[in-house]
Amino acid sequence: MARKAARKTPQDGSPKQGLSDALAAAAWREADAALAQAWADFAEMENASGAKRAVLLALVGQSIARAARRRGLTCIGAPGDQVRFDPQRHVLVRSDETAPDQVRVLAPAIERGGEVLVKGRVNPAPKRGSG
Amino acid sequence: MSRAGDWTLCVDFGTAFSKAAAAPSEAWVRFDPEWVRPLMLGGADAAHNAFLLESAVFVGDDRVLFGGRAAAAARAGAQSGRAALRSFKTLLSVSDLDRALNTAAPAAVDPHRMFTLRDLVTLYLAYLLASIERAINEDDVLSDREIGERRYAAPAWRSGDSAGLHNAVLALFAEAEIMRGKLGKKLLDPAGLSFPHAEKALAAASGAGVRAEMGLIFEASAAASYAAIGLERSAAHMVVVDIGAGTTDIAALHRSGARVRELPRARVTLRQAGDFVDHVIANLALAGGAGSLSPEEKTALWNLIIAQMVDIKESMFYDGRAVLRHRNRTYVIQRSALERDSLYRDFAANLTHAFDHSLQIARRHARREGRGEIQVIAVGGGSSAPFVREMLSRAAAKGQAVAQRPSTPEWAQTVFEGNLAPVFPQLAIAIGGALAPPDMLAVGGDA
Repeated sequence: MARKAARKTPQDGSPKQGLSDALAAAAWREADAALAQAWADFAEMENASGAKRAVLLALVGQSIARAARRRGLTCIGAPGDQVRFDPQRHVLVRSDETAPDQVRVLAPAIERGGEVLVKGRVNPAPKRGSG
Repeated sequence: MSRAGDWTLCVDFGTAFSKAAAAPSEAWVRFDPEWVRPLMLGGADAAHNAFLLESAVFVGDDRVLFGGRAAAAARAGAQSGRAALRSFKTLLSVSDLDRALNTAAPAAVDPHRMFTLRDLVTLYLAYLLASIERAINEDDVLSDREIGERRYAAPAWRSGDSAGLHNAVLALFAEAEIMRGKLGKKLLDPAGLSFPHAEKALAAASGAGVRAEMGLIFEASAAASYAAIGLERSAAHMVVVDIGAGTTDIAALHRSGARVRELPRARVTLRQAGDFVDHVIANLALAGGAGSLSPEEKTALWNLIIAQMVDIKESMFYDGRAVLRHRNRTYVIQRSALERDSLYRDFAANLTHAFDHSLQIARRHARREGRGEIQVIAVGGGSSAPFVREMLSRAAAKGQAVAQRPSTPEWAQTVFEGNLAPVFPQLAIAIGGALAPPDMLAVGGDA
């Protein structure tokens, strides 16, 4: 089963980019169906109301989450979580605030491979005893 | 075993999808993640994930279809009782393999009664080998390199008669290689392979009496390989939980230098796995609002649920629920309902019990060896189930010497800029099998 004679060694140069692109393309292909579904459902939702609109909103959210996961995106935390403020990961909704220690998440941060793509929107957490 | 080439290839002949990856043969001692090469078996122009090749053969009116086209034809013919041959891995693990292979394919698979199961498995393997050959030729790095060593991955539970089964698989691969040589690109024709061509190639390869030169690596060892490679600090003991489609396999491994040995008493195989969970979920969906449907509509809904099960499970496990539309109705399948289901709870309890058993044995062995830490890892399609993640976290929290390894190792996250992360769990066994040193093989390629 041996194939052609070896002509190069792995030290010749990095093959990373080509394969990384192929993996990204594979991930995109897996995400495409979910993204297309989200778009179609969103169009339908714009003209819907009541219970039907609620169902379509759930379907749009579901498809967006699937497409994002297939592109390797991770949602860090959830609205309502109380966490330590991290300026690399969070942005305060009110810009005049001084950096607090604890914050409450309004919208989560989105990351991929450790890189923050969208900072989470946060507010200072209520101090203990303040309700 | 051929050592002439500088690259090692591993084939993961999966229940649902086949995968393959190559790595430099010295990867274990000089690991550079940039040189890990998962192969695009579906071809560069594949419409779906090119790294996954559906494990399916469909016997049509006058042609044999393979891969995604076979699966699509089976879905289209499901209402009329047609089916593709799938789950080759389960078939290849039965104790009396020769007898099983020489059985005629079921009428739903082959209404013409032309082919035995052996014929169809060999034809699929020939298609798989042709796909591997195409992927290597299309790969920027591998196209002018020599693959010196080939391996395939299999579950450890088949090792009751490991040598006999291994030899039978090698004979199948050898026949498939002969067929690949005779049929060439005809195997990759999207329209399929004509019956006369298939029969002629089968006749030429039948009883060739040769064995392919391939090593066997147990899937648990392959999982341990990709999880431990490149780590400066890695525990000597590792418990691997592999939840595949057909079986759940738990294995404890002990590493000493590059040598990895399994602790045989820790090995547990459960017949409940991904397919079992799929059926529980499909039944939940049907029970939750399909009462007024006709039998035909129920069948159509069932087929839709099974076809979309990967998406459904992902949404249930990560978001807490899956929403599904079928015709003018909406079905919401809640994770909490699954977790209340008695069959699912039984599965979770059995798996937890089996895991605790394996961990206990690994702990005792580690203590005797004077080792301080055990690593635990879950792999396979079912590893994202919340109770599995919780089971591993509990083990890590309970004993300070138990550490949980991520299903996707850090090197895969960073080197491929996150792009490998979504597809890594599916490619992990093939990649781990290619990276593993020869000492980790259950049977070497020269056996």
